[in-house]
Amino acid sequence: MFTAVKNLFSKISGKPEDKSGSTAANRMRLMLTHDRQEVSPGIMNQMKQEILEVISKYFDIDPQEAEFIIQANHFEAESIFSSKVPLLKGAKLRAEHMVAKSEGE
Amino acid sequence: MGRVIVITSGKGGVGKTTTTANIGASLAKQGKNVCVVDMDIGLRNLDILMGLENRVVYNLVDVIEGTCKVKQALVKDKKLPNLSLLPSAQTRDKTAVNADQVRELVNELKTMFDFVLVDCPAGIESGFQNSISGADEAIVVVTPEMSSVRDADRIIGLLEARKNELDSYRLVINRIKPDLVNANQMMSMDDICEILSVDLLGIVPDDEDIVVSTNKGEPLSLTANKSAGQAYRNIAKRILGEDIPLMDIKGKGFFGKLKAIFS
Ligand SMILES: Nc1ncnc2c1ncn2[C@@H]1O[C@H](COP(=O)(O)OP(=O)(O)OP(=O)(O)O)[C@@H](O)[C@H]1O
Ligand SMILES: [Mg+2]
Repeated sequence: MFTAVKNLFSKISGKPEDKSGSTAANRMRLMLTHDRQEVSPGIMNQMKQEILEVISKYFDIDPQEAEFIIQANHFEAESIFSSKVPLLKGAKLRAEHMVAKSEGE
Repeated sequence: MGRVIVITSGKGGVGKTTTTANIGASLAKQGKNVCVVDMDIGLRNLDILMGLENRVVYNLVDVIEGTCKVKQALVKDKKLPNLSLLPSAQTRDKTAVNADQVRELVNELKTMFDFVLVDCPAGIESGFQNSISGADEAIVVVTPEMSSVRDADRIIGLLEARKNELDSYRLVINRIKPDLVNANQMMSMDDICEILSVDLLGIVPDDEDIVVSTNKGEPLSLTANKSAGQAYRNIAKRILGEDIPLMDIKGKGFFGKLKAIFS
């Protein structure tokens, strides 16, 4: 009973429901992406780390906020890898690289 | 020519045999000529669910090896004369047959029946490959659990790879527990359909009466007007092309209803 009331409130307030049903669905989405792509989560994490290291050489970023998504399904020939890495507020291209760039010109 | 439909899942114990027996019985009740084929060689079950275990003389392997004719191996249902079972062999294993032999067999059955329903064994190995051989359509049975959904996704990948042979494949979500769905403690059918991106053929609630009907050897869809029995009948009607809305699987508590109003 209590759960139903809680669900009602979370629906009204628009807060995400932290119920195991949704947790399972989210874990499932990620898991199947890896399965379909035949990459292990470990390798994916390693790749993410390397990408973030490269980006943070140029910009100030918060690695916690970065998102990496592979869209893969059985029906399309192509899969898409996309990443979203928000830059910290006011982050500019690091000075040393601007110099490198202008020198190269 | 009849339609050959294979019932498969990847994961074991999710309800393939139950689904085969119930859809088969419902289609027969609707007047169709139906043959249910037990392709789980070595683990014969479908005869029990249909209450026909004492009438089995020959089996599928006998037919394939030429020991008997198809007609001799078919076991007629006790109540529905237009429903037949082709039993599996209990003392052989999956290596007793190959995919070409199965294709030949179902092609012959197709000329004799409106529907040939093939009950596939669990797994993705030769038993699965044999079962989908010659199939026109597939039904993927899944329960709302992560391991089952994952295995279903693997099966869907394998079915998709054979899409020039298969006309379609659709999903049946089995053993939905209304109380858990209401409390959001179970993956919803919307989530499962979205995750697997497959068309939904039907949903079946978890129903204790399934146990009773198995004990009696009488598919629930023949007798029960509610719950799983009704759900399987709806599925049979959809297979026949009728537009039947999905069953409302909700717990009956006051707050369940309240939530339904607000959502
Ligand atoms: N909707 C349901 N409600 C309650 N119990 C169910 C339901 N569907 C199946 N079961 C039960 O689950 C168990 C497994 O069902 P079944 O034998 O049909 O699965 P299966 O997928 O054919 O298994 P296997 O992979 O071993 O062949 C049985 O005990 C059956 O009674
Ligand atoms: Mg079975």
